[in-house]
Amino acid sequence: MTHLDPGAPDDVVSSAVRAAANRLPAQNPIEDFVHHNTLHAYEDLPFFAAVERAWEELGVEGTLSLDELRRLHESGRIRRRDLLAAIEEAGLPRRTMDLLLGGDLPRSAERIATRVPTLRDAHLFATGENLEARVRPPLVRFLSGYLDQGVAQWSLPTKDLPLAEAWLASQRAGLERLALPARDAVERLRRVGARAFVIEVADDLGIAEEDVGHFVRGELFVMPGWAGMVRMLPHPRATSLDQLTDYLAVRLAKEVGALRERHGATLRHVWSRAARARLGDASRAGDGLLDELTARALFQAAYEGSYRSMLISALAQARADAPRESEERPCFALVTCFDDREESLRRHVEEREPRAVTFGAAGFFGLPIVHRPLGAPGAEARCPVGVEGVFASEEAPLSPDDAERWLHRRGALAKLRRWEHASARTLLGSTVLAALRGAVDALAFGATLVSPEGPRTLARTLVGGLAPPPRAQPVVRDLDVAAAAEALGVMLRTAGLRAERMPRLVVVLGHGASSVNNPHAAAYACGACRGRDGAANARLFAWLANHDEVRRRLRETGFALPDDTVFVGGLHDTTTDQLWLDDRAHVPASHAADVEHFERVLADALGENARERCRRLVSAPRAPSAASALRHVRARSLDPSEVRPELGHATVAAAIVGRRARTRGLFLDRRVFLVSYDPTLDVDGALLDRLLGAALPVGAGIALEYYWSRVDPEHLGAGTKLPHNPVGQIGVMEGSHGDLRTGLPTQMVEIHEPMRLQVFVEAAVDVLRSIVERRPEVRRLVENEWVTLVALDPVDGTARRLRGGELVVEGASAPIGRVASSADWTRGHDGPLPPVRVGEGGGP
Amino acid sequence: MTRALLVLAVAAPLTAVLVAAAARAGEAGERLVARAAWLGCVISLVANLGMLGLLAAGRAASQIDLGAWIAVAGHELRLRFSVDGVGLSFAATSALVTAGVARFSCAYLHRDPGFRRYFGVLGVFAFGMQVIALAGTLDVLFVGWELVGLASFLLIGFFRHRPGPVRGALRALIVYRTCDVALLLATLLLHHRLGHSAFSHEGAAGDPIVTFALLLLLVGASGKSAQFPAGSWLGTAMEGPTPSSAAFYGALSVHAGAFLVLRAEPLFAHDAIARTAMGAMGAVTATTSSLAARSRADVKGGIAAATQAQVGLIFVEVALGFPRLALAHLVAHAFFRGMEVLRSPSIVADTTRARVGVGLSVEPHRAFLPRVLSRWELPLHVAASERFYADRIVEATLVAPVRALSGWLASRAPSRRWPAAALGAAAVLGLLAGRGAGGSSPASVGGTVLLGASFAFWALGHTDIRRVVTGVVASQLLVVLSGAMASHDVGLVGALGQLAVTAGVGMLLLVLLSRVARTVGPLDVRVVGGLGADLPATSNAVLFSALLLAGFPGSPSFRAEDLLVGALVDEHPAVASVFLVVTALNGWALLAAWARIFLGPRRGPRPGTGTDLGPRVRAALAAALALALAVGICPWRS
Repeated sequence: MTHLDPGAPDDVVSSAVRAAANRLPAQNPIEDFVHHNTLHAYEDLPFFAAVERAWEELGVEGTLSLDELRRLHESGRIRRRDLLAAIEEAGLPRRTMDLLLGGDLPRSAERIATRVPTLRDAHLFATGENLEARVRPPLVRFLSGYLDQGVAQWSLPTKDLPLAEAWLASQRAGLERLALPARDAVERLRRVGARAFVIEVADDLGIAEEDVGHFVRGELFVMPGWAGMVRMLPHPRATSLDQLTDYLAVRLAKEVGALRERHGATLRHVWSRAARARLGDASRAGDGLLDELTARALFQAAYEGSYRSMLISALAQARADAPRESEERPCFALVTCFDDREESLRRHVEEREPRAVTFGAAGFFGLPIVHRPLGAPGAEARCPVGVEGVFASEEAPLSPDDAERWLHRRGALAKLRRWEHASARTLLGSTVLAALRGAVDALAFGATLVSPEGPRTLARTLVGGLAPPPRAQPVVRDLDVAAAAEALGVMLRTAGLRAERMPRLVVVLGHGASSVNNPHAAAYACGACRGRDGAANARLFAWLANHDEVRRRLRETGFALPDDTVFVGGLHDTTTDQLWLDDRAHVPASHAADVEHFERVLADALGENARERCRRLVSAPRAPSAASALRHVRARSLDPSEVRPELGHATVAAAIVGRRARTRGLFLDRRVFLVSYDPTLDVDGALLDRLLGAALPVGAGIALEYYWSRVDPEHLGAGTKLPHNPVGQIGVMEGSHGDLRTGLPTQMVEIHEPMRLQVFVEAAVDVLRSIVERRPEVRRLVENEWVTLVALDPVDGTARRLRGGELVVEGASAPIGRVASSADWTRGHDGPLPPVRVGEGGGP
Repeated sequence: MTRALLVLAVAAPLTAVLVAAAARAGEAGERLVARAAWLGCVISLVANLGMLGLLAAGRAASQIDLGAWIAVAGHELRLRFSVDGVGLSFAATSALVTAGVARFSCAYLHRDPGFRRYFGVLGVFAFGMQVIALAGTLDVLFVGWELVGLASFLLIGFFRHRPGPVRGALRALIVYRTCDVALLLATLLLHHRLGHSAFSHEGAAGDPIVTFALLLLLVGASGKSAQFPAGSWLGTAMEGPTPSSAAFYGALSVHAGAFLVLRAEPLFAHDAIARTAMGAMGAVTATTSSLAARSRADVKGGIAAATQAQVGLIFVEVALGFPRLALAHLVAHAFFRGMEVLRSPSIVADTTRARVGVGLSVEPHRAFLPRVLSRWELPLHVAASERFYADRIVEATLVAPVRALSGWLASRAPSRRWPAAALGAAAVLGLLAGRGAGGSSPASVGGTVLLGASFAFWALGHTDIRRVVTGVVASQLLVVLSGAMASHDVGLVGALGQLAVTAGVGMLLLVLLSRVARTVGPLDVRVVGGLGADLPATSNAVLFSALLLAGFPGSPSFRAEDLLVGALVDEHPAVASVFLVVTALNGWALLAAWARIFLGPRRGPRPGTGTDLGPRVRAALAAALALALAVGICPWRS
C-alpha cells in the first residue's frame, strides 16, 4: 500500500488532495484483491454519522433504501419488536413507529456537490450536455496505457515519466495540439505545473478557499476507481500525492479544454449559474420527528438486532444442552480457516464423526510466510495485509528430475500461451491464429451447446496429462527454530488445542477457490493469505509441527506434543468441495489408518457440504444426492459462462470467538466466522489481544466490503459483472471507457444480508474492554460501532453488548428447535435459515 | 426439401422473440426464455447443416423463391434466397455462434433484470443474420441488415441507466443509419440500371452509375464492418454483456459487411475502380487498426481493434480476387474471435499465472519502431491509441455539418406552428398539382421534397422530443406527399398507406409524450433523462412507435415505402433518393431523442405515480402493434 508523503508542502491544493486521497478506494490491482473496508477513511466517525457524511461528501448510500428496508420488515426479516427496541435505544418516542413504516420522510442532509459542483455537473446543469462524453474516452485511454501492468503489446513510451509530464508529452505528440481552445489549457498546465494549475482553475471559477477541498474531492470522485489506482501504484520518481495532483490537473485541463471547445464561454459563467441554482432542489429541510437517514439507521439497527437475538438464543440453548466435556482422546482434529464457508464443513465433519474435534484460525495459521511456489521466479507474501513476512518458504520437489521435466513442459505451455495472447493483437499473428484455432473454436462452440464447461474440462485434462504437477513439499530453509516454535505455540494455545488432549492426527486445511474466466478470482480466495489459497501455509504448518527440533523447542516452552501425534496439511477447495491432501504420502505407516479414516469422513462431509450449498444456488439441482451435488459444484468451477462459481462470503453476518464447545451442534447457516479461542488457557487475555488485533480488522473488512457493495453497488461495489472489461492487469472497467470498478460485483453480493459484523467473544468483560482500550484499530471499529462487540461470559454465559461506555445485557428470544441432522433442516429451503440444534449435540 | 429447410433455418430463431414476449417476468420465466432462444438457434443450425448436406450431394436448389412479398400492379418484391456455399457457410457459422452464445448467456445473464429483453433481441439478431446470409437479393438482405443494426443498437445500450452504453449505442446508430442510407441508395441505383438487385453482374459492364452504386455499397458494408473511417463506433460498442459483444463485434455482425462484398463479388469482379477502393479501405483499416490493437491495454478494446484489422484483410482478399480464401478467413476468424471475447475475462488469471508462476515477462514490446525512427514512436503511439482520429474525421465530415445545419434551421424556425403551416402549404400545392393534368410539375415535387428534407434537419436540431416528433412527422408527410405527386397508381397506394401510418403513429406518439410532459414538464433532453426507469411501458410504446414511423422492416410503413420507391425509381430517382435519405434521418432523429429522454441516468423532475400506461392502454397498444406487424409482414398481392 502506498502512503502519501507527509513531507509534502502544505498549500491548499495539497491538503485538499491529501484529504480526498484518503477517501478514494484503496484497492490493489485486481490480481491481488484483498477485502478491506471501502469507507475506511470514515472509521473515525460513529457508523451512522459516517454514513451521513459519506453521503454528503461522496453521494454514496450507506444503508439499503427505505423501500427495501420496509419490504424486509413486511417479509419478517426485520421484526417489529426489534424495531421497537431500536427506537427505544435511540431515545425516540414510540409513535415514531408509524412514521417509520409508512411516512414520507425528508432528507435532512444536503449533498455538498449541490453547493460545490464539479465542472461536469455544472455543465450538465447549464446545458444538458455531459462533458464526460468528451473528456472521459481520451482520458481513460491515456490512463489505461499509463498505468498498464503489461497487457498492451506496445506500451506507452512515456510510461516512466510522472503523470502530468507523460500526458503533456502525449498531447504535444498528438493531433490534439491543433485544436486551439484545448491547447490553451494544456499550455497553461505546462507553464505553471499541476499544483498551480489547479489553483488557477479554482480561481477562474471563483471558488472560495474553504470550498477548494470540496471541489477537489468532487473532481477526483468523478472517476474514483481510476483516481484510486493512480494513488495506489507507486512511481519511482513521484510521490503518490504528486501523482494524484497531476491526475487532477490533467483532468481539469481536459475539462476546461472541452468546455472552451464547446462554448467558448467563460468558466465562471457556467459554474456560477449552476452553483446559484444549487442544481435543483435536491434537499428538503428536515424539521419533523424523523428524517430518512435516521429512519434507515433504525431499520438497520433492528435488522441486525433481529439476527443478533436469534444467535444469542441459540448460544444460550447450546450452552444449556451441552454435555460435560468428555476426557476421551479425539480421533482426529481438523483445523481450518475461521472462514464462514468452513462453518458448514466443520459441522458436517462433526455430525459424521462425533469423536472428531474442529478448530478455526486465521487462514495463514499464524505463519507469516513469504512463499515461492515450485518453479516461480519470485516469492510473495502469504499473510494478512499489514503483517510482515517472517519465514521464507519454498516448495522443494521430492524428485528433482520430475520437477525439472514438469517445469520444462509448463514453461513451454506458458510460452505458447504468451505467443497466443500476443499474436491475437497483431495482424499476421491473428491470421495464423484464426487458421489454427478457427476449427478448434468452432468445436468449442459446439461443445458449449451441450455443456459450457466441456471445453475447459477437456483442456484441463489434456494439460494435466501433458504436464502433471510433481510432488513437492513446502519447507523453510535456514529455519529459525525458536521463532517457528513460538508461532506454532501461540496458534495452538490460542485455538485451544491442548497438548495433553492432542489426537493422533491433526489435519490443517487451508482454503482456496478454483474458477475460470473470473477476474475477481482473488476475492474468493483466502483474505488472510492476500488473495491466494492457504495450502502453502497449512502444509508448512504441518511440516513445522512434525519437525523434531521445533517439537523439542515447543516441549521446552511447556507445550509437549505427544510423540504419536502427526500433522498433515492440505487444501479445501471451497468451490468444488474437493480435498487436496498432497502430503499424505509423508504420513508414517503407523498413522495410515487414521488418515484413511479422516479421508472417509471428509469425503462424506464434503458431499453433504456441497448439498447444503446447492440450496442457495438457483441453477443447482433441487434436493440433490451428494454425488450429484459434487458434480454440480465441480462443473461450476470449470464453466466459463458461470458468473457465480460460488457465493463467497455472501452469507456472513457474525463472528464467534470462543470454544467450539459453545457452538458445536448448532446449525449456523454458513453465516458465522468461527474463531477458536479458549479463555481458560488465557487468563490475562494476552493471546486474545493478539488474536483480536489481527482477526477483528480482517473480519470487519470482509463484512464491511460486502456490506457497502450490497447497499450501493453503483458507487461502492463493482456493479454487474456482465460488461466488465479487464484492463492493464489492474482491474476491470465498465465497458470500453468506463471507470475502474472497485469493490465486489453484484453477482457476489446480491443475496447478502447487509449487516455490520456481530462479534461475540467468549471472554470476561473486563479483559475484553482492556483489549479494546489498548488497540486503537480495534477501538475505532468498536466504539464507532462499525462492528458490534458482545462479550460472552466464559462462566455463566451472559451476553453483554459493548455500547459506548455502557454494557447492554442481551436477552435471548424464543428457544430454538432441534433436528436430527443439518440436511433435515435445510431440505426444501433456499433462503436464510435461523439457527437450530442439530443431532444430540455435545461431542467430546 | 431445401425450401422447407430454408424456412426453418431463417424462422426458427424467432421463437425466442415470441417466447420472450410472452414469458413471465423475473426469474420464473428465465429457463423457458433461455431454452427457446437456444433451441431456436439449434434448429436453425440443424437446418443449415441439412442444406449443406443437400448442397454437397448436389440436390439443393440454388435459388429459392418464397413468393412475392409485395406484388401490386407491376411492382414486385420477391422473397428470393440463395442456397449456395458462400451463404450457407456464413449462415451455419451464424447459427452455431448464436446458439453457443445463447447457451453461454443462460448462466451469464441469470438474474439480470434485462434477461428477457436480452434473449428477445438476441433472437431478432439471429433471425437477421440468417436473412443476411441466405438472402438472394439486396432487398431481402436489407431486411436482415436493418434488424441486425437495431439489435446491435439495443444491446450496446443494454444497461439503459448508464451514460456510457447509451452514448455508445447512439454512436453506432448514427454510423449505421448513415451507411444504411448508402446501401439503400446502392440498391436503388442497381435496380435502376440493371433492373434487378440480385448479386449477378448481368448487364453491368462498364456503367459508371453501377460503379458509383458499388462504391455506395462499399460504404454500406464499411459501417457494419467498422472499416476506416467509419469504424470508430466499434471502440465504444463493447458496452453490453460480454456474450453479446462476442456474437456481434467478435464474431458475426462485424463480419456482415465483409460478407456483403463477398456476396456481391460478381459485381465487384468486373469493376476495377470499386475493387481498388475496397482494397484501399481494407488495407488502411488493417494497418491502422492493428497498430491500435497493439497499443490498447484493455482487453475488449484490443480485441475490437484486432478484429477490425482482420476484417480489413478480408476486404483486401476480396478485392484481390480471392473470394474463397476470404470466405475461409471470415468463417475461421468469426469462430476464433467469438471465443476470444467470451474468454476475455480470463486474461487476469492467465497473466498472473504466467508472471507469478512461471516468471514470463509480459511486457515484450516496449518499443515498436526501430531506433532510428524513435522520435516517431510517441506520435505514432498516440495516433494509434486514438485510432488515427477516425472519430474526429467522422465528426468533422458527417456529424458537425448535420448538426450545424439542423441547429441553424431549428433556431430559424423555432415555433411549433411552422411544421403545420408548411404542411398546409404543401397540401394545397399538392392538391393544385394533382389537379393539373398529366402529373405534377417537377418544381412542385422538388419543392415539397426539399421542404420535407429541411424539416428532417429541423427536427434533428431540437432538444424537445415533442418538437422532434412534430418535425419528423411533418417531414415524413411531406416527402410521402411529394412521392405521391410524382408517381401513379401503385405509388399512390403506397403513399396513402404511408400517410395514414405516419399521421396515426405521429398522433399516438404526441399523445403519449404529452401525457408524460403533464407531470414532468417540457421533455427537453437538456433537462430530462432516464425516464424509462420510471415509465417502462411508455418507453417501450414510444420505441415501437418510433420504429413504425421510421419504416423499420416489419412495419407497414416499410412496405409502403418500398412500394413508393419502387414506383419512383425509374422516373424520379432523385426524388426516391431524397425520400430514402430523409426517412433514414428521421429514424436517426427519433431513436436518438428516445434514447436521450428515456435511457441513461435519471435527470430532471421525476414523473408522478400513475404516469405510466395502465394495463388496459398497454393491452390496446400491444394489440395495435400486433396488427401493425401483421399488416407489415403478411404478403400483399393484387
